[in-house]
Order: sequence, then structure tokens, then C-alpha cells
Amino acid sequence: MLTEQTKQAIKNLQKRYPTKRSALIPSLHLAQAQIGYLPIEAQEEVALLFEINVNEVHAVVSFYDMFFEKPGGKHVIHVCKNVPCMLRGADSILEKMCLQLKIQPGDTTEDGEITVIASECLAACDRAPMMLLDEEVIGPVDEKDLPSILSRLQLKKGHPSPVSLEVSDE
Amino acid sequence: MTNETVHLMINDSEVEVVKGTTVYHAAKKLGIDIPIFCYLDRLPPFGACRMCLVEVEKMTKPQAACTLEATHGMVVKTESPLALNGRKEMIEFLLINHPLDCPICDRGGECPLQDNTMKWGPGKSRFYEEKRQFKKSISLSPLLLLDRERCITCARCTRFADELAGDQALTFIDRGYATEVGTADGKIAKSKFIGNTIMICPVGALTSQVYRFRARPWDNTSTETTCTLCPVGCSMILDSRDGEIVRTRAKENKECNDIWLCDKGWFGYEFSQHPDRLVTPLIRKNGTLEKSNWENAIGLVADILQEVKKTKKGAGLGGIPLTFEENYLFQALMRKGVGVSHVDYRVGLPVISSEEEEISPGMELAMQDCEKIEFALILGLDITEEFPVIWLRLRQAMHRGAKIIYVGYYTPEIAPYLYKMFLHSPGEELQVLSKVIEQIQREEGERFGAIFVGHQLLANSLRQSVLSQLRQWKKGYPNVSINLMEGKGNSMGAWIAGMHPEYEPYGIKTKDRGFDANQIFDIASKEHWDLLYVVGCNPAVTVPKKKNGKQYEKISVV
Amino acid sequence: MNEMKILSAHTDNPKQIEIEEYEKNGGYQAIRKAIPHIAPSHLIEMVTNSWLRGRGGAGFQTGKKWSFIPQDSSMQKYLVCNADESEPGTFKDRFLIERDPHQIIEGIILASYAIGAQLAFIYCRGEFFQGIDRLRSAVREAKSRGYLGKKVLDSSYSLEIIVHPGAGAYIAGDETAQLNSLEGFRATPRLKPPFPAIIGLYGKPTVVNNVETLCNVVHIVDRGVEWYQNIGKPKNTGTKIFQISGQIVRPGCYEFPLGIRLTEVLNAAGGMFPGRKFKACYPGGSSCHLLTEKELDVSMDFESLSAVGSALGTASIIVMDDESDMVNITHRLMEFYQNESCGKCTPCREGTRWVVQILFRILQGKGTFTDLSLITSICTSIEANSFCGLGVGAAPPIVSAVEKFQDEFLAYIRKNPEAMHPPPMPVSYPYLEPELIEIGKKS
Repeated sequence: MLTEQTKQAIKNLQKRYPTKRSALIPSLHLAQAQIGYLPIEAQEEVALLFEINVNEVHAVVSFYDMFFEKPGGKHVIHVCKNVPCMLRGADSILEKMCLQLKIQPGDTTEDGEITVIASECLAACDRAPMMLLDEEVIGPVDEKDLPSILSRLQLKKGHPSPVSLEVSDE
Repeated sequence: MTNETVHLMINDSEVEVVKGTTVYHAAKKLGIDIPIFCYLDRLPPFGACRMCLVEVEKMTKPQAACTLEATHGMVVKTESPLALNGRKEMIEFLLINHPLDCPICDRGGECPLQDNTMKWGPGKSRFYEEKRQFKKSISLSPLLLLDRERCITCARCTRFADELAGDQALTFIDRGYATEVGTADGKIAKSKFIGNTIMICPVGALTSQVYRFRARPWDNTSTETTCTLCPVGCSMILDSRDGEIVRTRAKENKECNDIWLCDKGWFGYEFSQHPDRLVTPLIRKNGTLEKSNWENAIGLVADILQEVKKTKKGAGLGGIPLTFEENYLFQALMRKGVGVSHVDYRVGLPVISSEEEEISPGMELAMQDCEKIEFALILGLDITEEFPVIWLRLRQAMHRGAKIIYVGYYTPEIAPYLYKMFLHSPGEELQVLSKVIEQIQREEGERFGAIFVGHQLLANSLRQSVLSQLRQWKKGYPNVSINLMEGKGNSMGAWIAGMHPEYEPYGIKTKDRGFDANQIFDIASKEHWDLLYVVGCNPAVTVPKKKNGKQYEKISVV
Repeated sequence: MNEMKILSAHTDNPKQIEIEEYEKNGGYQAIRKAIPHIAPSHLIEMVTNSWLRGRGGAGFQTGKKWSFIPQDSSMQKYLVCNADESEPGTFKDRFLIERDPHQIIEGIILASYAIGAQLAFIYCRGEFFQGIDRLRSAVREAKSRGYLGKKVLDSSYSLEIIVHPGAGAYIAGDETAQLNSLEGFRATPRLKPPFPAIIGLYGKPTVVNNVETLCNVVHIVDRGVEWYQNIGKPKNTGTKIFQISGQIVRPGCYEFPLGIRLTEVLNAAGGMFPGRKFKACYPGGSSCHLLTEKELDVSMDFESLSAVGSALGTASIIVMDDESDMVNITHRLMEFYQNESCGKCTPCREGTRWVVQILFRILQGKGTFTDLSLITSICTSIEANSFCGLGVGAAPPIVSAVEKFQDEFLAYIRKNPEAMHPPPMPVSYPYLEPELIEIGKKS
């Protein structure tokens, strides 16, 4: 399931760390960036590359919020619902966004384009109520901005990941 | 390891312990049992369940006794209001999401959660919300059943699977209150030691499918015995109900299996109730085996033995699944009763005469010392397949820094933990071995080590050369022990009891040497022999030779 | 008082992320002063004397933490920069990472040199996509100038920095949980003792420092210990980036010396919305007791806030005005702790969810009068018995809100006509299929 490019990038990552296993989380980011989510087959391939049991990989994948085990949308919108954003109207923004896209928080739109996640604090409380559109922080968001936000989202390439294939430098 | 001691006060009694001991063990020394869930004394302390809370002077918060190191002058109270309140609260927390399954839970009656709730629990619930729900009764293998709702995430099973068994059969999934135990994608929990997780699970989350709904612990009659399914011979307890074995449990034996059994021991008892098992004697009349009774059968055998006493054309074979006493009686019957020395237990095992054999059989190293070795060389032996519980003891040695080196035909299951692995094709054994021995002698030198030699090097013509090489090594480095890991079941016991043509009981060489197993079959196929008394083995399966002659077979019921 | 912009001196300059601009504005002078002219042990002494305290929430003396590392130079040591900012209301690390990443790199170089580490990690929150990119570029640029690599500034000291992404877990901000996460495991905290300074990452001595702490080190070395000691108050030296969020006119980062009063910070951020009054605030992120208008005059430093029963923490002030709903806020906060709990220890795993359920029931109008003492009792138990700091931080916001704003909770509870009796216990039949329950009900 993983391309040769991804596998090579993972092997390069493994060489950089004092132990192979430390490269697990960045490697899972790489795998997810390529596939869009982490199905069990991808987890098995990663397990082989790290020479560990697939149960261990699964334990790590299921622990962290950024790894998805089910396919989601091409674009991910994180709407912060924690207290500083809630105090500035995040609840109604989330409601309106979900109404517009006709989904519940946590679900993906029918065309598979957008997943909306009600997330915890994203460390951008100065721009509350804020959203994370793929990799871009926008805020403060007003209801009026929602249509332009959605059209802006379509122009992005999707599948945000903190680790890209060009990590083999440095 | 320091021999410095510290003095501390627990509940107004003074106790002296070695530096580094935890408060839990110090209290145990005084006979005070602090309740625990996540602590298992064969694993390092974890501190997750917070059940072992005690009050320590000068510390405002209650402390977990299983992780707290005892220091000099510490004053500990295990039953003060602070400690008791802490325990009450912890039980309360554990019970709020624990399902009310006691009537249908296999653990009922021997459940630490039940016992601790009765001793330390609040008595009345303050929880008026919805309990968290998971799927119940998930089959994680044909033997293991998981009930996630009952799990208190003490992590004993995951830590056992990771640190002791080394196969990571069970891991945690998700986090927080949604934490569950399981495998990736619900697949089968692959392990040779999964039965142990059933034993160490403090609640009824992991249960045995084979034992499910069979009995309550007070229904069972317990008998202590030894497992016969591999030569390790772990101590175990058979629980039976109405004359039927319903389950086995491990018996603590620090000198052999510690507190563990392998899955053969945990689940391998079902053959005792198998429909194919003979329970009445059969006598061949006119070519067919007909059912008879014990009186007739024993009478017939006695008559035959009297005849053979005159002709001396008889032999006794077998003894691996028999107890030491049964082996002794068998060889006594043949030697003293019938007057023949043709007894041998090595049916289906390599037959080596005492002149050829240069090393005593079995292990030189005591099993409990397996935990203290500094390096181990495993030669041609799949240890988790043939001698599983010894692997668990080697794991303890590995946690202290021991290195394991492996030489064999194929990659073993324990490959991720090997310091070095040398795979070779059949035929290259001796070259690889001399290279490896040289390397180890260079790197390890005088360190305390063990060599485990398995059937890949013992059950063939290489045996002599391999063993002489190892004996040379030992001459120069006396701290190394040579352990021949071969045989099945109670072969060691059969040998010591005298089921051997060259040895009488207790290893005394006999003056009247008999034929060994191979010779018996040779002769019996050429000449006409009167009796082949086969006990507890199946030569038809294990010995590829045709047998002619009059044969009376009686297979003893164990 | 006006802002004292030391760490945030150049954060408004969009070119500050480039190394040329950073050096033009005085950057990378501190490492030239230290390597190799100041001995590592002397550097530790300097930082200890400056009284710099950890800016990640705990406020432990940084120099003291460094001094716990064994002096043996043959031992491998590691420095981990904790950039896993997830505390509600906290955004100073994102601010520094995205606007002045070289300041952090310089701080890491100084700290690693002081403890003798040759490999440093920046554990950066996975959701900081732009931040991770900027840190990576900064590391590359620094290496190209010889500030990292085999011979730092042509000396015998070598240092590599690895930028390591997290994957979304608040608990990974805890010191030992972060080490577990760096090693590629689930981020559950470890037993202390042994402390990370003796047995840390990969079993070797490790120091974990917050982003802001490391930035402060740069200025201590650059401008001197005495200069630093003169800022702030005794034992609370230096500046702090205060972050104000919530119901305030201009939320954002404001850098002041420690010891400034709470009202001054609120005024610098523009004060309350027109027509609204200050009700309460969480002064140090969400994991501390809240302050009411009675405490508006408190001095924002570690000791003074402890004296009034709260804590400085990360100095992230979440402001709530008279139109906010305390019950809703506490429910939302406890939900955060419930979601982020790692699940290792019993009180945090079970207790946080229990409190969320009770608060939800109260919000739904089904609360009872015994609920408030129950919540307080559960929270006290979580705080006293938890394994790590998450549990200790989950209790104070709830307990203080219930105590100081009891009327708001009681108002919700009074909506329940059955408030005098305990609610009915729901009975669940997990082992019966829904169809069987229906059959059971009919017969």
C-alpha cells in the first residue's frame, strides 16, 4: 500500500534517530499523508519496516488524535470548541458550519471532500473563534465568513501533514 | 545490588529492609497486605491503579506503596483515615464503569476486585449516570475471551505480553475512558503464553473459552501435579468437577516454572476427556480388539509375563508420560519380575549408548538460575515451541542485561530480542558453530552463561562433534553451562527411574545390559519374540519399522 | 505599565524568521559569547543565579534543573524542547515558534551546551504545520552558518537538532509522557523517581525545557545575569509573555515583567467589552483556581498567585465576563480533561468522565442538590491521587468555579423538580440484544 517513495522516506527518517522506533510517529504521518488515513494494511507495512508487532503500531495510531483509521475527507476543518473560543461564539460557528455542510461534527460530507472535527484547544486563542483549515489557521471567524471559507478550502491541496516527503535533507 | 538496609515504621511496627525495597514489600515483610491491582511482583512497578495508597508522614498526598521506595526513618500508616479513604475512593472509581456481571462472570469467587470491594469499598454507590459501554464477549482466539467492559486497564496483560512473553499479543487501543485491551483490527491474539494473562487479570475481563461457565471455584476439587506435555515439567494444579478436569492453574514453584505455564499447560488437558481415549481394556480375539474388563486383562498379562519369564524374549518400551514412580515400577516389573533388562524409554528419541555419550543428559543449569545468566547461546532450538516457560525465565535475565545469541536453520519467534542471530542451511552446522564459539569467547569471556542445545544439532550424526566442541569450551571457561534440551515429557524421570537398558535406577550402571529401543525393534522384527510391553508411547507412529512376531499390546491408561 | 518586549521585540517583523534579519537584530550573539568561552558549568551557574523559572507551567528553577544532570562528559545526554503547547488559553509558544524561530534555536544551542548534550529534539505539536516548517528552515539556516553540526562556531562542541512532530495529545506535554512519545510509544507518563535528569530519553540523562524558558536563556547570556535579575521581582525575575483570551477586547500576547498586576494586563488588552463587567478569570491556563474581581489587584508572579490559592502556570489569562455561563464553562473544561486523559491511572480516567456526566446532567436540568458536594469530592480525589499533573490540573478549575459561583449551579439545579432526591439509577442490559429487551417488556 505504501509507495516506494514513502518507504524510502521512512527508512531515511529511521536513520536520523538514535533508535529506530523513535521515527514511528513521523513515519505514520508520512504514511497518512500518502494514503489519506491509516488502514490496517498500512499499519502492517509500517510494522514490518520497524520490525515490531502490528499491535504496537495500532496502539500508537489509536492513541493520538491526528491519526485516522477510517477514511475521511480530503480537507479537514478543525473548529476549536474549547473555553476561550467558546466564550467568543465558537459553538454557533460550529453549528452553522455543520448545518451548511449537512453533517454532524466528526463526520465527512457525502462527496468525501470535507471532514469537520470539533477539536480541543489549538493554541490560537488570540484569534478566537478560530478554525484550522487543513494546515492554515484562520480567525477570528464570523458567520458571514463561512461561504468564503468553504470556497477557500477547495483551492487547497488537502491531506495536511506535518511531515512531508522532503524530510530526507538536514 | 547494595546490602545497605533502611529502618522504617509501618503501623507502629519497625521493619528493616534492603535499600531499594518498596513500601509494599516492606509491609509484606511485616505481614501487612496492602491491596493492589496493577502491581505484579514479576514486573517492575507501574503505579496505575492507585489502589495501594498509604499515608506517609510529611507527605500531604496519599502515596502509592508499590512504587514508593522505603527510606530511612519513614513513618507509614496503612490503615489511617487518609489511606482508607483513598482506597475507598479508588474502589468507587473502579466500580462506576464496571458492569454488574458478577452472576455471569467466571472470575466470581476468586476475584480481587470483589475481595477488595468487600474489604475497602464504599458500600453504597453515588453513581447515577450511564456506564460506558463496549462490545462484550469478544473472542480473541479459540481460547481467550475478552470482555472490555470489565477491564480496569491495570495493564498487567499488556505489560506481560510486552515484557515477559515478548510477543505483544495484547495492547491498548484508544486513550482515556475509552481505553480498551485488544489486538490490531480485532485479530487473533497470537501468543504461546496467553493463558497466563487469564491468571494475572485481576477481574473477569480475560477469561478462558474452554472453562467458560463450567464451574465456580468452590465447586472444584484441586489436585497438585506436574505437567507432562514438555520436559520442563511445570508445577500445576488440576481443578476437577464431578470427576472431569475443568481447568488447570499454575502452581508457584520458584525452582521450575516460577508462576507461569505455557498454553500447552493451560489448555492442553482436554485430551483427558477426548472420546478417542481408551477407558476400558481391549483384548484381541480372532483378529479384532474386543472390550474386556480389568480382571481379565490383568490376568491375561500376568500369564504372558510368567511365560516370558522362562523364555526371556520380552522387552518393555516407553515411559515418557509416566510418573517417576510408574517408571520405576515398570522397570522393576521387567527386571526383577520377568528377569529381562530390555527396557527403554527412548521410543522416537535419539538412542545413544553410554560409551558414545560424553555429557550427562538434561540441563546443567538450575532453572531458577536461568534468570541470573549474563549471556545465552541457543543452538538449533526453537525455545518457545519446545521449552516455553524457560523463555519466560530467560526474559527476566534479559531485563538485567543478558544477551541471547541464536544459531539455527530458521528464524525463531524470539528474533526481535536476539543480540545476534546466525542462520545457516543444514550441513554448515559445525563451521558456523566454531565461528560463533570463537566470537562469544572473545566477547563474553568469563561471564556466567548458558548454552542450550536443541534437536537440530542433537538428533543427528553431528551430536558427537558438537558436544565435544562444547566440552572443550567449557574446559576453558567453567562459568558456562551446557544444557541438552531434548526429550519429551518425563524422559529425564524415566532415565533416572531406570527405564534404560544400561542404567538401573538412580543412574547406577547395570551389569546386565539389555537391548536398547532400536535394537529391540531390530531383533523383534527378525526373530520371534514373545512380548513387547509398550507403555505410554506409540511405536507404530514414532518408529518406522515393521514389527513381526507375536505381539501383545497393552496401552496403559494414564 | 508598558510592555517590556524582550522575547517579543521583533515578532511583528515578518522577516524575523530569516536568519539574516535575526542576526541583524542582534541574534546569535549569545552563542558567540558562550561557546567556547564560558564553561558549561559556569553557564549553569549563571542561569541559576538569574533565578529563571520554567515558563511551561511548573515554575521550577531552570538552572537547578540543569544542575541535576551528571557532570560526566562521557555520558550521552539529551535536551528536549517542549513545544507541545495544548493548555487551553495558551498560545505563546506558537507565537514564538511562528514569528521568531531562531530565538528558540539559539536557546536550544545554549542549553544543550550547558548540559553537554550533543543531540537536541524539538517536540513540536503536530497541529503546528507552519511552525514545524519554520523550525525546520531555521535549523537548516543555522546549520549552514556553522551554529549547528560537527563543530559549532569552529569549536569542539557538536550539536544536532531534530524537529519531531507530535500527533495530537495534550498529555504529551507532560515531561515523561513526552519522552515516551519521542521514543515512539503511547504518551503515558513514567514513574518518577527515577527522574529524567538521571534516566530520561532512551535511559540517558535528559532535560525537558519549555520554548519560552529557552528563549529567556538567550537574553540572560546576551545581556548578563544582573540585567535579568533587575527585571521583575525577587525570585520571580525576567519577563513573561501573558496571553489574554476570552471575553476581552484585544486578545493576544503581551510581554511584561513578572509582578505586574492583573488589572494592568487586562487594561493593556483593551479591557472588557463595552457594557460588560469582569466576572472571573483563569490566570494560568485552565489548570488553576479561578480569580474573581476580589483578586484583580493580585501581582502576577509565582508566589503571589499561590498565596491567593491559584497559580501562575503559563500566564494564560482566560477572561469571563458577566454574560458567561460558569456551568457551561466548567462542563466544557472537564470535557477537555476527559478527552485528553491518557487512561493510565484510575482517578483521572474514571473521575473526569464522571464529573462531565454530572455537569451535563445539571446543564440538562436534571441536577440534584447533592451533586455539588459530589463534584467537589470527586475532584479532590482526582487531585490527590492522580499519577501525573493532568489529574492535578483537572480539579482546581471545577472546584473553584463550584465554590465561588455556587448560585449559578444552584440556578440550574433548581430547574429540576426532582432536585431534592438522588436521580434514578439507569439500569443497563449490555448482554441482552435490543429485541430481547422488547420481548421481555411485553411478557
